[in-house]
Amino acid sequence: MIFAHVLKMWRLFMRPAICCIAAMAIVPAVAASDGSTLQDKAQTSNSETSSDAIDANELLREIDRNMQPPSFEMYRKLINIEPDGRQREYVLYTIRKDDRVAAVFLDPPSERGRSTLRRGENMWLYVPEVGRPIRITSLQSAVGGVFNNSDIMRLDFSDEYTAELTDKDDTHYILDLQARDQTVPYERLKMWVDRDAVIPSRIEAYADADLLIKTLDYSGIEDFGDGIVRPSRLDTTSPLQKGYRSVMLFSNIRARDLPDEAFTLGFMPRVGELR
Amino acid sequence: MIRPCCLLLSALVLFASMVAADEFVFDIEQYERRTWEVGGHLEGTAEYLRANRKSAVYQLNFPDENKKAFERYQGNLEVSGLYRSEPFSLHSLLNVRYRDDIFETRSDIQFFQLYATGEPTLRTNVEVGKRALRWGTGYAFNPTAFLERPKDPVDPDLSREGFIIAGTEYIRSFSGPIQAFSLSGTILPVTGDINDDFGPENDINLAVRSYLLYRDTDIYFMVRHGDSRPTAFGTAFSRNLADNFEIHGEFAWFDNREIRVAPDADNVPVTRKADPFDLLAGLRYLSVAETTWIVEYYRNGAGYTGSEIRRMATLARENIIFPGLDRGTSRIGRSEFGAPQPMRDYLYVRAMHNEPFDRLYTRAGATLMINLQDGSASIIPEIVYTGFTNLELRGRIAILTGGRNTDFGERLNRWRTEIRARYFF
Repeated sequence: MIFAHVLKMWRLFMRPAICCIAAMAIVPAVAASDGSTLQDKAQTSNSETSSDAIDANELLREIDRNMQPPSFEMYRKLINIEPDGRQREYVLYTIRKDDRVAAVFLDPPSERGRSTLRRGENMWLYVPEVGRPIRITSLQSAVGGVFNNSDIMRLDFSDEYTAELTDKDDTHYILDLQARDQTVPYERLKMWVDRDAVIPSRIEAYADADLLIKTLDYSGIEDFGDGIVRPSRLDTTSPLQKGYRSVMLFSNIRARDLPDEAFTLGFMPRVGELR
Repeated sequence: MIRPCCLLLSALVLFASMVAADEFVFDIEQYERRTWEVGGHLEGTAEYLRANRKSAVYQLNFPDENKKAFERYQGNLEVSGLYRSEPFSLHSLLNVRYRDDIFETRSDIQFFQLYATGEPTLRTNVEVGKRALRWGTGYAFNPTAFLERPKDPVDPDLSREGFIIAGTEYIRSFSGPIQAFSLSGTILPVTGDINDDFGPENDINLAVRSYLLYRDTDIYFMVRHGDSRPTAFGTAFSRNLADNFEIHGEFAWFDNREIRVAPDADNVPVTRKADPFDLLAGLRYLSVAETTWIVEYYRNGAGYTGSEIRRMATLARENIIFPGLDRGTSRIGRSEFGAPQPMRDYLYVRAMHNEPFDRLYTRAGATLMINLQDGSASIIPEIVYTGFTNLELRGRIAILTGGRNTDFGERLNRWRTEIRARYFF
């Protein structure tokens, strides 16, 4: 048991810091049961221990909604920075609708045209050379090297974690997020939430109760239009990967009414045509 | 005065560079859709082969040679092109190959694919031209690949030449137990000038494939009908049992399938009915230690029996003593006997580990293929490095084991080493 746990830790450590950037970046909205702002509720419930969990979860859903619309497209650049200063860049075009995500690599040339589709817990990889989608395990690397499918194709925080409000100060709420099941790569998240914008400013990812795996820092709040005001940059570091750093840049996050057929195997070679 | 200015300037430059180092640029204009797109790769491969001079395949292919070992150099250029003119687009994949070893120096240039697509609606797609279709859920083997050229399980991801086809596909997505559906129809004509290597008889061959994503399981049904190849029915499935464990399988039935075997004592070509069923069962598993395992069992109904292989190997050796006595054997030997999997039962195991010894951008692993009938096998350890921008380096050693009259024991070489460099553009 201990050995398996150590191996699990090791697997997580081996990934460069970029692993969970995308994970924290894809946070589409799930409409709240009412249209009201929830931060006041969270504030109120903070003094009411019995209702903390419920209100914290509502706050988490509001965070999801603030980060991205229910159906949207976006571009991402992932930059992996090694201790010697070498950099590796990847550019992705991503579409998302409900529990479905599709992403295609636009750069570098060695990855260009590779697309990944997620429908719930199902995941497929399409490689142009192979010419057909192959069902893959969600924890598998999508492109070889640094990226994990679950990281790139992650669903909502509120879909994968339950939240509890543990603390607050003048500028932040602090949420403790516990994984709903074993399918997520991090068992616990500690999230600092900007009280005004209701978006995360920092997340600490733990593989176990006290073992910090990664720290993610959001910055560069930008107005993407259509009421989408959110961070445009995410920096990731890991205390277990000294010297490695990863940056994700977001661009052109736009609400878009996407057809359901865009999230099918037959459409995987054409995801990039939706640009 | 000058010195402080220089120091100040140096400090400013240093500060500016430190700031700039953290200011990343993301100009998405260069990633927007364009009318033209061109990409591809250029690769070079160097191999050293230790020949198995007593093997049947060696003697069939090179009866006049007696080399203990030799080198082989290959170059390969693949250029993919795309031209868009809504709602149509033109796709191409040009392949240029060069090969040089002691037996031959050869170069080829051909379009692996050249086809036009149209999308009357988002749910419908029409394709006409030379197209490489890929059917099946298996990694190394695909019994339901009804419209394809043979795949080499040693390099299953390599591009392959397509056939000239006309086809259409209709796709739908649902929210119920059936989550997605597609239906595709393909016409593959065979004449003296078109697709003449698909089958011996000229005909208009038809193929239909349907797909369902039903309760998180991929399910395919396919049929092929025409005179060029036997009528065939197939089904395939794939499903994740856990987030790190996937299973898949394929089953194909062929009507009146025949295979050529070694000629009889009078050197008359002989054919016999083959087993009508092909089967594949496989899994993909990602271990906690970040190793991907692919395991597949393949039943090749059109494979040879052990006694047939023995007879062909014997005739091939006699061909050295009496060249020209049995040309039929040579023809058969080069096509069927020399195929990637000429016999009936194979076990394929591939393990690839990411970032061994903390080496970023490195993968290491091995591929094992065992002929379950005669116990012969090939094992191919390999290492891949992608640390240089747009460059992939791969090293392999292929070791073949097996005695006389066995599948891998009668191959061209006993072992070989290979270094491949592939540059993407």
